[in-house]
Amino acid sequence: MFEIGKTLINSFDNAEFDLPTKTENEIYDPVIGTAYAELIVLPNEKTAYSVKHTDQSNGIFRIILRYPIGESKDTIKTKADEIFSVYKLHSIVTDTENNNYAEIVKQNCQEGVRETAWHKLVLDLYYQTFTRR
Amino acid sequence: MSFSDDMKKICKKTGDDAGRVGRNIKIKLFSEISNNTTVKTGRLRGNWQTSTGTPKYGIIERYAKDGGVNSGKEVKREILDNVTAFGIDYFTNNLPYAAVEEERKGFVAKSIANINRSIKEAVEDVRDWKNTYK
Repeated sequence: MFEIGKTLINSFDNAEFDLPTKTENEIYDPVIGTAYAELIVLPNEKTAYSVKHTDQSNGIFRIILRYPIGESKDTIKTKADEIFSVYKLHSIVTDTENNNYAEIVKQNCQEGVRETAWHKLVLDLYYQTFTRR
Repeated sequence: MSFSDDMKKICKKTGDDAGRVGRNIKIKLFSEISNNTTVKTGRLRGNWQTSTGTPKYGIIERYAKDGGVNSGKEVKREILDNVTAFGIDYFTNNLPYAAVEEERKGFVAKSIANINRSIKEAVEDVRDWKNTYK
């Protein structure tokens, strides 16, 4: 259930979005004036897909972009588009080593809000995954 | 095509009653959100409020982890009492920290990700009910 989280986070790092990232339980002190992305994977429970050998699950890969207040709102929106263009609908995020893959089935962007020194934009990538039991 | 058109299509295929299926889906979705909600004192879960027509804007004190009131059960009862078949139903939580918790834990987003399964289960429940009582 949690392997897919690693796969998604690794795929973000490998895509080279040129943003420092903060993941769960990782110590990262945001630097004032430097944009960063917080990555959270929210998996749902795993259920049986077939009697014999396949399980299914789904969840959300949540990317929280924080940009310094002074920066243009277009910069953060451009970055959001760049991320969405990598994680296209029905694209497959794979980890061939561990035989994991997730299919992106929905993209969602919440309205941007101001949060202390940051302008925050939350991107949600809904995924589904089928794994060998 | 609207949600109710989709519902009618599903019900036409399955021969089920649109209202019953629609209500069942809403009950499943709201219950799943409530169940996914983080419980520390029970206050956050207890503040899920169900209404029809207009959302609720207040905060209520419906929590006690070890006390007399089981917030989850109370929320479930309110869902069952208030959810309608064809009305616009709201499920709101007005605690200031609800949004922060949602961002970290995604109890609403995760339930929406699971909506296809909820629909499938709702249709199956109604079909079972019809098979049992017809």
